[in-house]
Amino acid sequence: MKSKIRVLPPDIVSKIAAGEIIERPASVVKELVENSLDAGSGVITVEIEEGGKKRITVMDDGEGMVKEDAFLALERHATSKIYDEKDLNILGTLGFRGEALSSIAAVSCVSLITRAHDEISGTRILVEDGRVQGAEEIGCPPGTRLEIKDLFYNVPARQKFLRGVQTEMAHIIEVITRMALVHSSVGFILKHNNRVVFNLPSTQEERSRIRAILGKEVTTQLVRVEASNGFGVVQGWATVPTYIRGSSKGIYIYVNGRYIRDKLIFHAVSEAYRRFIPARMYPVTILSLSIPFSEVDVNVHPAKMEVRFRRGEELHRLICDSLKDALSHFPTIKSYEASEIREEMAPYSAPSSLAIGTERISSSPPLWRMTGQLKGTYLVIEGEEGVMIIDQHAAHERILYERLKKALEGEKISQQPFLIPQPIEVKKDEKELLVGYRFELARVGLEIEEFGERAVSVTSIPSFLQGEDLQSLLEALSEELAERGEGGAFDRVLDRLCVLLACRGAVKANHRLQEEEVNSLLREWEEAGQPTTCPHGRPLLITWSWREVEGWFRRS
Amino acid sequence: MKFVIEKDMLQTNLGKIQGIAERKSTIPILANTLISGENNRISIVATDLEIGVMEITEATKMEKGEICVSARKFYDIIRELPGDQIEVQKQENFWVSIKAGKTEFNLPGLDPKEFPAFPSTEGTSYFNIDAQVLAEMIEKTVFAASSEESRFNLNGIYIEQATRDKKDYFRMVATDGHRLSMIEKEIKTTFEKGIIISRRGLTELKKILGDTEREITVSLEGNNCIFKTEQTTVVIRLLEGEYPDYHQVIPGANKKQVIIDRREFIGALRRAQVIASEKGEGVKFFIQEESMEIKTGGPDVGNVHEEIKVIYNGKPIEVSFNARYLLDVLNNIDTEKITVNLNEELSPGLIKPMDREDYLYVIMPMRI
Ligand SMILES: Nc1ncnc2c1ncn2[C@@H]1O[C@H](COP(=O)(O)OP(=O)(O)OP(=O)(O)O)[C@@H](O)[C@H]1O
Ligand SMILES: [Mg+2]
Repeated sequence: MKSKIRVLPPDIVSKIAAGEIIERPASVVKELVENSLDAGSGVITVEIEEGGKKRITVMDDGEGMVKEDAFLALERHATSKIYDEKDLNILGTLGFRGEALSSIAAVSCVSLITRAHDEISGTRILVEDGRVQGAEEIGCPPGTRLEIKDLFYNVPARQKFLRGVQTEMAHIIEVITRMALVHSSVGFILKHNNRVVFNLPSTQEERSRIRAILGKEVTTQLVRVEASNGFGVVQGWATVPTYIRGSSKGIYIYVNGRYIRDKLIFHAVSEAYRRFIPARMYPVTILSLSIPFSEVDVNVHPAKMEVRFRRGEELHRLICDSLKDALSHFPTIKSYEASEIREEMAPYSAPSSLAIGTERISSSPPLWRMTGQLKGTYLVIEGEEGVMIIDQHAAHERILYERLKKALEGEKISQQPFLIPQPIEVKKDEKELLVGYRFELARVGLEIEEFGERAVSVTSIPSFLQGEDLQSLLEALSEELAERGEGGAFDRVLDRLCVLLACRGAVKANHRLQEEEVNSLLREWEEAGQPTTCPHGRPLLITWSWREVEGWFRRS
Repeated sequence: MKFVIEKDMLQTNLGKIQGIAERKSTIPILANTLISGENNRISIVATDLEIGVMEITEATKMEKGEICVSARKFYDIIRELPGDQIEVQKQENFWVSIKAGKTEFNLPGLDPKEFPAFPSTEGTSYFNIDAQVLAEMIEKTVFAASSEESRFNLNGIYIEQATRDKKDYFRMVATDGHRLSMIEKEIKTTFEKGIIISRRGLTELKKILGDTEREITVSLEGNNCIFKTEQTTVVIRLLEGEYPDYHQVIPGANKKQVIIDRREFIGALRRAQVIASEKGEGVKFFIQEESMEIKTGGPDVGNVHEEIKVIYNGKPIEVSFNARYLLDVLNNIDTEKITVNLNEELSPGLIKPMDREDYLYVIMPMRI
């Protein structure tokens, strides 16, 4: 094999979106696996230790590199994937910047072992502190093996921001999942601390790969999507509208093999499902788009998660139509009642003003009507199909909980700042805990600052907590935070935090609600996807169909 | 002990102390009232140890002495009695008999000696204030005080002597941290430093003294503030603690002044509130030359969208407020128009009745 890698000339380099590529272990895994895919590998093995904080190893059986290339690969802007500016427009590979390996080498200890298929021996290079520390010729199987140790050992600021082992591992799994879903002909093996997390054998049947990753239940609900227009081709899978989820995480979109998150495409998917499913509920889709390379610019975001389309409207139509078409084969789908009262979705306009949300008609009447309240605690609700009793506290709690979770993910939450920040006395260790979590707390709308040795000053609260006693709230909060377990429990702590705040803010039992309050509660409950349990896992409602009720009285 | 009294007089006086004596107290005797008689006058006393009330009223056929009975039961009985003269007499074992015409009730009582002593009401120096003015001041501030249990100082209303433009003012300030209400009247007080009186203390005071036409004499004695008319004395224990420095949060008037019709504004806010009925949900205002757009509801809820005419000629501004905080103050203003001074989207707004300088309200916008 001839040497393939060249250092890009500076004028092309300046045209490539620069920025930090390596943020956490999962970013390393993403870059390495992409390289292995670009190298035409048949099986890719990823081994992780301690959530990748300690060690990440990626092995493949791809084309490998000759000795000169092995050295060049670690240089900045050295790539075999593009040669000149024109290539940027006809990109067929996942990599193109020649930056990943050098960025990784700058913040970790790297060992690269590689052997080109037609060579008899391989090369081993060790890099530390961004410099080659040693190189030798060794015997090894064809392919490439990259081992990354002690990520961010020389960037303490980054290292501090790493989360617990479980969280980092979850990110890694997500990264590999995204790639494995659409590369079913490539085998993937993932191990964590020597235990196999998954082993996905190579297969020609896309659905068996999806099933291996997302599970049997989803897979049986998938319909095939296949369409093309003058603009491009879309193919993949989407769930029938009766199978929906509360999060958009199940929407996997690939453009020319690259996983992306894109508002325009999300909008197109929601639009196609709009008639069938309630707002804020999402299907699961795995859609691969093939469009001329000249139609899409992947060179806009350092981590390549965002792309720019030259003809957004065409793309929107392609996706939306293909899904609608696929769903139209399912005549049995009962249109979700709530869609009747939902206004038409804002039509898709220019990409700059993407409206994803749905607008609702002014104070649209809910589908249910309150007929009474028992013990000031339980709402008796009558609907077309039956009657239900809702625990008002539990229901509101769940609604607030969902809202807080979204806030943690970055969605805005309405908050009421203080005119006069409120100093609250707390114990010293409580203070430290609260201050330690101030960024997370701020995301859910509770802003605190350090205020002397034994106090914090509260500068803003989420608006639903207005009137809550701050002292006892902070006490309860620090108690929750103190129970934080081992490193990986971080997410669970945040979850408990949401549970606690939701519980505090929710309408209490033994509290008469006005009709408007009940209506707004019901509307929000609808919006939250009509959950049936409170965040503590207790049921929040019971229902009887009219048929059951009639049965009690032996009416037919 | 024995006296005869006009039914209406007794009923009115007993009615006034119910708010104090009725409190679910862990000390049973505090649910009682102590009635003492001498020289053709009786005094009716109730206290919850924070607030004490004493009503003095005329009676006839007096035999000196004291009784102590359940304030609630005594009041209920008096209300139900026929006729207009009532005779009250002490019986064996602290029982009390109540007679009106041919009807007689017997009520068990307690030993009057167990009733807490009424604090001294002889303040050192005092000043007078018109009862109606005091009531207005209370009404326009208490609603803004905090009801959070642990925020002792903010549970109260701060009362002080202020001087502005070489004039003396009697000033009351209340805040719950999110909004602040301040009223002042040109009265020279004798307060040397600011005091804090609980929200409940002032609310009860207003109930008890609010409908008098008389002047009220105000004085301080030790840890108590004393409010007195000829017939009634209310003693309220002061709250301890520092009151936050509120001066710095009151913004000065500035160019971004909006003039709004109060009634129209109230109407629009009420409608908006129907949608924003969840606790603390915000209402968005978009103010532009001559018009204010009012919007409620995120994508989750329904939404109200309304526009009202205003007088404004600054740059367009968008700001969100808690509708209830606005309604609270609008309902406490009596002028036809109000002024709202805004600065930036997230800095405090200043609300005043138009052309009046005695009342102001500061409100912190929401972030939604
Ligand atoms: N697993 C591998 N097998 C074969 N060649 C590889 C492998 N990994 C890297 N290379 C070679 O090393 C070069 C540099 O890799 P690197 O990931 O730094 O850049 P890139 O993939 O070209 O671009 P990008 O920065 O966008 O990922 C690649 O162009 C490729 O030629
Ligand atoms: Mg690469």
